[in-house]
Amino acid sequence: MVKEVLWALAMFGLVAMVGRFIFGLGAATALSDQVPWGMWKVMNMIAGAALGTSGFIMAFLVVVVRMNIFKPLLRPAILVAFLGYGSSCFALLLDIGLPWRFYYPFIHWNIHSFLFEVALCVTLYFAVTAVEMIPIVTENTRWRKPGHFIHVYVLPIAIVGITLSSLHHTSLGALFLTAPERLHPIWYSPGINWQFILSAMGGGLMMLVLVTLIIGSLYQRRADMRRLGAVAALAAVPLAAYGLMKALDLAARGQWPVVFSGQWEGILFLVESFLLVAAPIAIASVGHWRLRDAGLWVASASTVAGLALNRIDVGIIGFFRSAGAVYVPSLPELCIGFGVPAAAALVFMYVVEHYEVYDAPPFLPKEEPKAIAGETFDPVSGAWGSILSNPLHHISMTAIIAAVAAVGIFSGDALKGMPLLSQRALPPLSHDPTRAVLLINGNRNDMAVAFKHDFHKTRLGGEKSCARCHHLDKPGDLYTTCNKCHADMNLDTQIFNHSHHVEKNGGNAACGKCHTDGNEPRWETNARPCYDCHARDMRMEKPAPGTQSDYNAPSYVDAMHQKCIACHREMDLSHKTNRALEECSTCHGDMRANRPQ
Amino acid sequence: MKAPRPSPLAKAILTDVTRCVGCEKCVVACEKTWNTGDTIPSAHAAPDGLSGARWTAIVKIADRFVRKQCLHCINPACLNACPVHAFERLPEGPVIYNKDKCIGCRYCMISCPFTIPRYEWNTPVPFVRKCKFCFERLAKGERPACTAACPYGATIFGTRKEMLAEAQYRLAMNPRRYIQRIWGETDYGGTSVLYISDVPLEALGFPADDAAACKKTFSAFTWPTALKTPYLGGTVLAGTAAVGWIINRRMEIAEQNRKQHESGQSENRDSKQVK
Repeated sequence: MVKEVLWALAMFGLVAMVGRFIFGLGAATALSDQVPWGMWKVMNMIAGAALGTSGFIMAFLVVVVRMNIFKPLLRPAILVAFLGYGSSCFALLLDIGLPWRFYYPFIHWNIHSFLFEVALCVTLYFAVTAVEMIPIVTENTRWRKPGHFIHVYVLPIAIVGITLSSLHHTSLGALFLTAPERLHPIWYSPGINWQFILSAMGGGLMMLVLVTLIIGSLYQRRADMRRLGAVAALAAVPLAAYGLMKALDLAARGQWPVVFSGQWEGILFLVESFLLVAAPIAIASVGHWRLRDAGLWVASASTVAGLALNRIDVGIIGFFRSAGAVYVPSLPELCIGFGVPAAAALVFMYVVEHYEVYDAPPFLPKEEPKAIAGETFDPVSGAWGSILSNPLHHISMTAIIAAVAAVGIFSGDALKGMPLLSQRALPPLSHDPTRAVLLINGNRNDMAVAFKHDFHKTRLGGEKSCARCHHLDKPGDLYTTCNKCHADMNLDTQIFNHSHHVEKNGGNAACGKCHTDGNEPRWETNARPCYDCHARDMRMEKPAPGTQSDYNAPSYVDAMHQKCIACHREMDLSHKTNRALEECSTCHGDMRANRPQ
Repeated sequence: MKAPRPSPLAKAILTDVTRCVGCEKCVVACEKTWNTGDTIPSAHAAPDGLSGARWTAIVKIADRFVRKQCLHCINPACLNACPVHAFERLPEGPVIYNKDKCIGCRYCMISCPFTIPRYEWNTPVPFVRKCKFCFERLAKGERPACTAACPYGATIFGTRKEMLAEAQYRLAMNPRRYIQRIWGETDYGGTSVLYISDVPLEALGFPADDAAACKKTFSAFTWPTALKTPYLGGTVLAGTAAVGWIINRRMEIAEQNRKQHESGQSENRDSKQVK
C-alpha cells in the first residue's frame, strides 16, 4: 500500500514537471514578483539538504573518529544523504528558470555570492555521496574494483565530503544575510549561518532515526534501540546549541518582545522552536524515553517537522510582512513538492531491498502467493486478477491512473498567466443592449469614456474573452481599469485630490467649506477656486528660476503651460482631430479679441 | 573588500517627489524606447506597476506620486547575490543585467531591498527584467529616456556630484517644504538614483534614518561572513584530516603493539614448550 501511494505521488510530480517545462514557471507555480522563492526552492532544496546532514556526521564519527557503535548506521546515513541531496538538486533544476544552464556557476564565478558557494558545494558534495554509494551498489557484482578502490581511499573522500558539507550548510544560512530589511527580524540574524548548520546537524541525525524507524516498521525488522537512542542523544547536542544561540541572538537584538507581541510570526516561531528544540531535547535527555519506540518516533518526527518549518519560515513566510503579499503553493507545486520526496523514498526502498544497507542481508519483500485467477481462461477476470494480486501490476496501474489524473492539475486560466480572482466591476453608465460601445464612468465624475466593447472583445478572442477584463482584478482595487492593459495610460493622475481635501477638512461635514453656495449637485463649478486657500502656492506669474518660489509645486497655470499643452500638441499631431485644447483661446477667451490684427 | 565609491564619471538621476504630477510620461518613454512589451494582468505581478514589461512606474506614497525604478546602487545587492555574475556595474553608474549568464535562480529578487528585479513568469524561457539606466543612450551622450520625457523636471539627470549639489540646494532653499534628507545619498552605500521629498520614502525600500542599514553597504552584511568561508573550510579540512590521521596512527600503533604482544606471547609459549 505504501508503495502504491508513493508511486501515485511520484507520477503526479512527473506530470507537473512536464507541465512546468512546457508552460513555464508562471503556469506551474504561485510565485510572484513579491514572493519569488517558493516551495520547490525552500522545502525541497534547503530543507532537503538540511535533512541529509547525517551522511557527513556519520562519516566523521565512523570513518574519521572510528566510533564503531555507529558503524551499522553509516550506510543508511550515506543513502539518506545521497537521496536528500539528489532530490534537492533535482528540485533546484525544476525551480530555476533556465535549468539547462545549471553548470554556469562553475564557469562564471562570483565569489561574493553565497549562492555560488552553495551551488558549488552542493553539487560537489552530491558527487561525493554518489561516490560513497558505489561500494554499496557494486559489492556483490562483478564490478567490484571501483568499490574496492573507494574503500581504500575512504578517509580522504570522507574528509572532503565533511568539508564541503559544513561549508555549504553555513552558506545556505548566509543566503539570507542579504535581506536585512526584508526578512522578518525574528529570523534575520547576523549569525544565521551558524544557526543553519547547527539545526541541520541535529535535524539530519533525527532524520536518520526517523528513516530507520520507518524502514524497521515497513519490513518488520526491529531497529537497535540503544544505537538509535545514542543517535538521538547526539542530535540533541547541536539542537541545544542552536536553541541557546537563537535565544541569545534574539536577546542581543532585542527581539524577544516581538516574539511575544502576538504577531503571528512570533507564534509560528514558538511552534517551530518547540518542535525543533524543546520536544526532541526533552525526549533525548531522558534515557527512559529515548530508548523506546514511541519516544524516538515522537522526537525524530517532531525535529524533522520543526526543521522543515524553520526553513519555510526563513525562506518564504518571513518575507510576507515586508512584501505585503502571501504565497500559497499551487497544485503543480504541491505535486512536485511531494512527488520528489516520494520518488526518493521509492529509490530508498529499492536500495534497501536489493543491497546490504542495514548491515544485514537485503530486505527482500515476502513472496506473494501466485495469482489464482490467472489460471482461468477468462481473459478479463484473468487480467484483473493478476493486476490485483501481482504487486508489479497493480503498482504500475496505480501509477498510470495517477498520471492521467494529474493532467487535471493545470487550470486553463493559470496556463494563460491569468488566474482569476473575483472582483466587482462597475456597471457601465448607459446600458447598450448590443454592447458595441459602452460609456464607462470610471472615476464617477460623469465624464464617461466611450469604450469600444465589441472591438476589445474581438481583439481578445471573442465570446470566451470576457474573463480577460471582468472579475480579474486584484483584491483591494475597485474596478478593472483600462490602465490594467494599457499601462501607458494615466492611472489616477489628478490635479485636485478630492478625498485628500475631504479628509483634511473634517470628513463628511466639510462639504460646505468649499461648496459654499449650497447648490446641488455639489460640483467643481460651484466650489471655491483653489487659490482661495492656496494663494501662496498658486502664483499666477512664473517665478524667477532659482528663487525659493521656483521650488514650489507647479501652479495650475504653470502645469497647464508646461505639461498639459505640450502633451496635447503631441497628441494632436498624431490624431488630427480634437484640436480644441491646443488653441490658447480655449481658456484665454480674450486672446482672439486682443490679438493684433 | 573595500566598498566601491562613486567614480568621478558617476551619473545620477534626481527625482523630486514634490514636483511630480504623476503624468507617467516617463513610463511611456521607457516603454516606447526599449519596446518592453504589453503588460498582461497577472497574479504573478506586484501591485506597484513594475513588471517584466514595465521598468519604471509611478506609485503613490502618502498622496504623492513617486517614480519607482532601479536605484542602480553603488554597491548593488543583486551584483553581490548573483551566483553567476550576471549583473555588472558600469563606471558611470548603471547596474546592468546580462541575460546570457542568468540561470534563473531569482536570488537577486530576494536580495534587492528595493524589490526591483522582476521576472518573466509567463514564458518557458524567462529572464530577469529591470531598468538599465538607458546605458546605451548614455554611451551616445543622451539622457535616460525617462528624464528626457519628464515635462516638469521632476526627474533630472546629471553627474552624481551635480545632482547631490542640486538636491542640497533645493533642501536649503526650502527647508520647511522638504524633509532634510537625500534618499540614496548614503543608504546601503549610496545609489545612483536620488530622491528628495516632503513625505518619508521608506515605502520604496529605503531604510529608516536611524537604521544601521542606512550607512552600511551591502557587502558589509555579507562580505565579513564570506571572508571567513575559506578559513572555515580550511579549519574543517585540516581539523578532520588531523583527527583522522591521529586516530589512524594510534590504531596502527595499537595494532602493532597487539601483534608484538601476541608474537611475544607465542614466543614465550614456544620457549615454554621447548622447556
